[in-house]
Order: sequence, then C-alpha cells, then structure tokens
Amino acid sequence: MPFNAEKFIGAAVSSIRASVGDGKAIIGISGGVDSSVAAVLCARALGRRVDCVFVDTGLMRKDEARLVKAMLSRAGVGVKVVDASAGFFSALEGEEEPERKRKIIGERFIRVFEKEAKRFGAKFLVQGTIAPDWIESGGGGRDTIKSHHNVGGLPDKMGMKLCEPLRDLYKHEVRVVARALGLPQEISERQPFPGPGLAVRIVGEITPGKAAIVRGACAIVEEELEAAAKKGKLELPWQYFAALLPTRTVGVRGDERSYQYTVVVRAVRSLDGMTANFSHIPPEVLQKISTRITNEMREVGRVLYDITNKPPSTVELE
Amino acid sequence: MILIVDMGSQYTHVIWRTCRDLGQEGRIVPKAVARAELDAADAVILSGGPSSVTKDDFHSLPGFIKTSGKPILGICLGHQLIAHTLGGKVVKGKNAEYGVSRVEVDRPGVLLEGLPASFNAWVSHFDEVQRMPAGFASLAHSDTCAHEAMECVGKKLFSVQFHPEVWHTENGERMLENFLRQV
Repeated sequence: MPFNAEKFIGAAVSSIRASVGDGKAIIGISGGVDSSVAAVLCARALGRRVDCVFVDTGLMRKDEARLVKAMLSRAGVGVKVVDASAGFFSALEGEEEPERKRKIIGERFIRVFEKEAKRFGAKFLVQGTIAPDWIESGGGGRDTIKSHHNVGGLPDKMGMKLCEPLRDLYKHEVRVVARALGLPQEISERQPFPGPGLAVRIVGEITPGKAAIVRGACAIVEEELEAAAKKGKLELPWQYFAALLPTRTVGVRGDERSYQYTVVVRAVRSLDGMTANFSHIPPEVLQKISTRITNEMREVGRVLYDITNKPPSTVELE
Repeated sequence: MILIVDMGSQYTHVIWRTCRDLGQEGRIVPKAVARAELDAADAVILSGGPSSVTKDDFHSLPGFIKTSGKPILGICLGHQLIAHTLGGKVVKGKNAEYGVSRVEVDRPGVLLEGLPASFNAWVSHFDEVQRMPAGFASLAHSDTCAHEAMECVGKKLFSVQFHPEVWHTENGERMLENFLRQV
C-alpha cells in the first residue's frame, strides 16, 4: 500500500474544510513545493476564502519574489507579496546563535501573517509544514535538532489557529501530490529551500551585505550544477547551495595580499531529507564553481566543498 | 496492528511510514505506553533514541520484552534495550558511528534473509551491545561494532544497531518485511 496521492488529496481537502468551517484562512507561501501544494489544496477546499501571502524577508534567493509570483500564477494561484525585509534585518541584528536566529525569524513571520490575517478577516493560518519540520523541532522525547520556523520557531502567543494539511508527509510524497494536482514541473520538482531562507546559510551574524554574498554564491552553484546536469555530467542533487562562514583566510590576488570570507558549497542526495549523503560532483564542475565565486565576489577568498553526510551533519549549516 | 514505541528517535515516524508502505497499519505510542496496550498489538517495534539504557526509565517495556512472546524488533536504542534487559552488556563503544557503515553479514538468520553478504547501512550511535544475551545469534558486524544485528527466533526477538527504516540503508525495507512476516 504505497502512498496514495488521490486518497490523500480527498482526505486533506475535507480536513481543511472541517477545520476552517465557513471562516477564512491565509496561507504562508514560500514558492517551494510544500506550501504550493498546501495552497492548491486550500483553494480546492475554500475557494476564495483563502489568501496566499509571500513574505519577502530580504533573505531570499536571487529574484525569488518575482519568480515565485510568476510561477504560481502559471499554476493558477494568486500571491500577495509583502516586503518585510527591513523588519527581519533589524530584528536579527547582532544575533549569532542559530536557535535564537530561527526563533526571531519564526516570530517575525507570525507578526506579518497576523497583520495580513486581520486585513483579510482570517482566523486560520495554513502552513506547508511536513514531517521533518516537526520531527527536528523536538518534543515527545526527541531532542531539538533545529527549531523549524513554522513549528519550533512559532511564538507562544499568536492570534491565529494553525492548519497543517501536510504534517504527515515527506518531501518525496509531497512531490507525488504536486504531480497528481497537475502543478507544473518547475514547482513539483523544485529543490527544497529552508523557511528561514538564506539566514541558515550565513553562519553567525546576518547583515544585508552577507546576504548579498551568499545570494550570489547560491545562484552560481545553482547555475553551474543545473548546467552540468543538463549536459549529463551528473545527476542533479536533491539539494544544492552555498553557505557563508564568518571565518576569513589569507589569499593572494593580483600580487596583493587578501583576507576574505569562506564559502561552503553543499550538494546532497536524499529522498526525504531525513538522511543524506554528499553528492559526488566532478572536479571540473567544482573548479568552475570555485573560480566563478572567487572572481565574481571580491569578498570571498576561499571555497570549500562539504563532504559530510547526515547524520552526523544536517543538510543546512544552521 | 503494529505498535511503534517512540523512544525519541528522529526516525520513529519514518518507521511508521515504511510499515504503511509495506501494507501494515502502524501506530506510534510514547515510551510510557501501558503494558495492556503492548499486549494488544500484533507486533512491536522499539525505535532508537538519544538516551542510554542504563540511565533512562523504560516503564513497562523491559517486562514486556521478557515475557510477552510477541514479535519485537528493536532498532538502535531498541536493540540495546533488548540486550540490556535480557542480561547482555551495553557499553559506550570505542568509536562512535554516524552516517554510513559497511555491514558484513555473518549469518542471515530470519531477519537478514535474502540480503547480500555486505551492504551499506546508516548508523547514528555511540553505545553498543558488547555481549549479547544468552540464546541470541549474532547476524552481522561492522568495523567498529561486533553486533550490528541479532535475533532469538524462539522468542521472536530481533534487533539491529543500524537504521533499516531510512532510505540510505540498502535493503532496509527487506529487513522490515522479514520481521513483519513473523506477525
């Protein structure tokens, strides 16, 4: 009895109707497959009684807000983009500890959603939470590996009730549902992106400048790995990105000493994100990535490739 | 009904998912589950967890392991709990094992039936079973761990140190299928 998408869709639509009743809901959309599937299920269950909100935290990938809006509108989902980046950066200022960073982000998200819910008259917040989010957030005897912004990062007090139709699913199952719902491939097969965004790819304190570096490096990793996969040089990894370490090291550029940041390239193979192994990327592809990152970003002086599996590491760095 | 006892593993829900994929209805229950509920199950799977068999309270589980006669599969901490409860010895290993480990099959027995002579399994532990309880057969080992799998077919007790439920463990589903066939 492998996972049955049709049966799941039917049950999820009824359960959303049962929890929201004749009220209204807003849904937090990130442009990933989880929240996109949740949005389509909500549209089926509630029609126009659901409002889709994309929060631009300032910690998104290159062109993310524009891409997500266009991609979802092709899938028939209208999205409202709220620019909250100034609030996120100022709330995160000076904070280095990964768990506190995640809690600040979770809280910021909720404050934006509360405002949007009030405007729309919604009492419910729908989230695309999936199983690894609440598993890793701890509770019930489990250690907290990381507080996912949509679970462990939620503030104690919030003025909305939660509705999480995908709670028992894993990423590969959500993709099966996405395909069954007829979502375009650019959404159903999109690589995972963490809810806190680039914040968990900047080790230590977050600044708009560091966000710009890691955003540029992520774009290069995506471009190069996608191009190499198209040429058949490798199987596209399950997730692939760059992260920025606060450590600076010495280098030499044009006969001058440099002392610059370190970027980590990470690419992993997985099914459900619960376990992962580092991808075997051909050296010439890694070389191209490293050359582009150091040439295009003056602030980066060294590029490393992460060869750790999960466990003992996790996919993202924080 | 398969009862899956959650001892705090990251993978408890993945055990539930794998049982469902294999056509068996499972239900996750907390570690402090009542004996009567355990007795009503067709089989019990003990998950892994972050604690240690010598330090934590396992409520009615030791009594159930000793006397139930129901098929039980212990995974990671569950494997160690079966060994500890029945008089084996669980100690902190010389080396921890996290991530991939090469498991060499010494004898397939019931649990590893149909598996290749060696395979990659995913592990995440420091403690290990140093001495098995009487009546158990050791089925497999790795470089760092002498008893990666053991069973006592007469008592329907089976256990593994690695995690057969995760996708990265080769043939993991086959091992769970071999166990579920005992129900």
